[in-house]
Amino acid sequence: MLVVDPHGRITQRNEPAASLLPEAEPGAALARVAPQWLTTAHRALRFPAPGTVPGPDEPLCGAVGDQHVEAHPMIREEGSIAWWLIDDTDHRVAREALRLERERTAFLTQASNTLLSSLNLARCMDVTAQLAADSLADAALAIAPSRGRHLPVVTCVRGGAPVLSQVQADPDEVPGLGEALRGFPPVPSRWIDPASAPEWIVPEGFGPVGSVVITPLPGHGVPAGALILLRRDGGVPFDEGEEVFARLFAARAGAAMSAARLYAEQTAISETLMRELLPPALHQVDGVDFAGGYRASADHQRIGGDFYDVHPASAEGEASLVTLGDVCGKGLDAAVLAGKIRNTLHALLPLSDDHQRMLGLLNTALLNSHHTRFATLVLASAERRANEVHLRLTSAGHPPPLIVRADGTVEEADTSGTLVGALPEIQSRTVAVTLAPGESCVLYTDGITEAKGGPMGDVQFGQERLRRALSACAGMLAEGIVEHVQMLATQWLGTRRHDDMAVVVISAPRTHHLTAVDGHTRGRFTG
Amino acid sequence: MSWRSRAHVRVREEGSVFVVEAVGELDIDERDLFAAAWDEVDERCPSATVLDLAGVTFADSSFLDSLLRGRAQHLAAGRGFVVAGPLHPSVRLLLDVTGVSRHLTVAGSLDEALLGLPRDTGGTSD
Repeated sequence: MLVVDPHGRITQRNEPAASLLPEAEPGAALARVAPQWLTTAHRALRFPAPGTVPGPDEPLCGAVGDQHVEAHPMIREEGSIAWWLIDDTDHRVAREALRLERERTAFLTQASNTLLSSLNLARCMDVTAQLAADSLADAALAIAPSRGRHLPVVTCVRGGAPVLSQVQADPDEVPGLGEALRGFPPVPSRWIDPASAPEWIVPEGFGPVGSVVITPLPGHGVPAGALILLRRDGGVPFDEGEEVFARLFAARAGAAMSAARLYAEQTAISETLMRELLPPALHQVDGVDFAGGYRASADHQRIGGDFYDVHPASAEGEASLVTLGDVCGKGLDAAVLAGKIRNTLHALLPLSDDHQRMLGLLNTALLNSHHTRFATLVLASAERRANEVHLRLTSAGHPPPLIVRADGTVEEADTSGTLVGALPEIQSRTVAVTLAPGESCVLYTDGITEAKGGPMGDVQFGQERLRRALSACAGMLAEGIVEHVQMLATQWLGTRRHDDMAVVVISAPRTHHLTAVDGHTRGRFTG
Repeated sequence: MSWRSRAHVRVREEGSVFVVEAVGELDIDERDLFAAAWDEVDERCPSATVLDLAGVTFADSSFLDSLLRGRAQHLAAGRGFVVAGPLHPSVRLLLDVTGVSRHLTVAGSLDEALLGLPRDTGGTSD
């Protein structure tokens, strides 16, 4: 504390004030011994400028020597002013640290939001490099693990746009980079000699590098890449706090890149499987009409193992084989098993006369594999004889096919059997069905009947509704029936999520309409 | 959000018989519960397990998967495995259509299931 009289002379001081301002002895003029900011404040308080209201707005503060001091004036009765000087150096350091921390937290939050808004790996790398260059360094490089001999690198200079390049380089050339890409903890930047940095990590026209930080971008279990931060020679080198902060940022960037990579891979795999899964557009084969519709679940988690195929007869007078089935479970595992079943069935085609034998062999093949899932399926052998289509239908634990007669009657094919892949012994019963021209056989998976929706939102589409819908489809073309069923199920669902839905329709074509009279047709059908 | 009735899977011991009681609509969400129940069986080593499905109103193929896993696990360990009804028509349909019912011992009720099993090994009698 320092007491100054109306003439600007110091009248009293206490011990702390003496140690702060050793020259401020009683009798000395404040203007001579105190720093400028304090003298100015004192004068302003004594002789307020016209129009100003003296009052405690911002606390006065300034430097005294290398200390930082806050000054609080107190006007005393006799007109002297007591200045309370408070050393707030520590307080100020703490406040500065807090401000920095807040800024960094805000930056990390913003970084996370920006990064996670994209599931595109290239965009994630761009954002990582750009955020790092703008906030942490003069330039930043986001590097993904190498694919083959090339390292995908996104470089960004502060204020610039990120640039992707494929660098043919050995990451182990850069001290710490190989380790970072393998997921080892970062080496302190002081261990990295900027002069040893290879040319490719320094952006064109960047100038000499002053300091380098290399930190891994940790992913989910596997490293998602590495982040290199560069500062120019002559700038402030990275301190320990900044390196720790760079690691925090890298953790978030790595998580985002990893998620994007997984998503990209999963999408690619699912797309491949789906493409593989989708049969060729079906049409007439050997005088039998086939139509198929497949609506894969839009929900990644619900993509399942529905499948169907049509194998045309290999020789005249033989039957074509339709297979439609559903692997229990969801996701890639189910889709992979569906692929395996389709391949196995394809290999067993020479035995397609004997559905039981085919199913028995399929069952054994599935039991012997490491898969622990099962599948249900229907086999349908279809053969055109004159105007009719003769079917042999076998269900292996699958909902029996529905037969749509010309008069709108819907019958359930009388076949049943055990699912495949779970039990060592399976049985099944095959039924023979004849389709007259215009009649159809409908194979479907439970994605249709178990579709939940309707006016109450949680009612299954159900077999009854499906039968009623099919009853209205009498005489329709195979393709029309597929579309009709899909449309009804989709309407029923509304916007709700759903499982895979597959439908196949086998029809006896109405090829011999009266309009087709040309003297060469084998017969006439008047419907 | 959903009108779906809540499903649950509970386990208890009745003498030396392990009872797994499932209630509600069973789908993929209950899969882990069954897996945990079958693990519990291996730990407690009962002579047999009754899977009480009387309260189940709907079950899908993931439930069937759980059921088949449980059955296989019991068979491998030489333990009894009985399903207790009465079964809801949709559950009955699932087991029939898939041909699984032929491979199961299905009792009309929990009491019936327990009566048919050798429950007692530890001297308590009733």
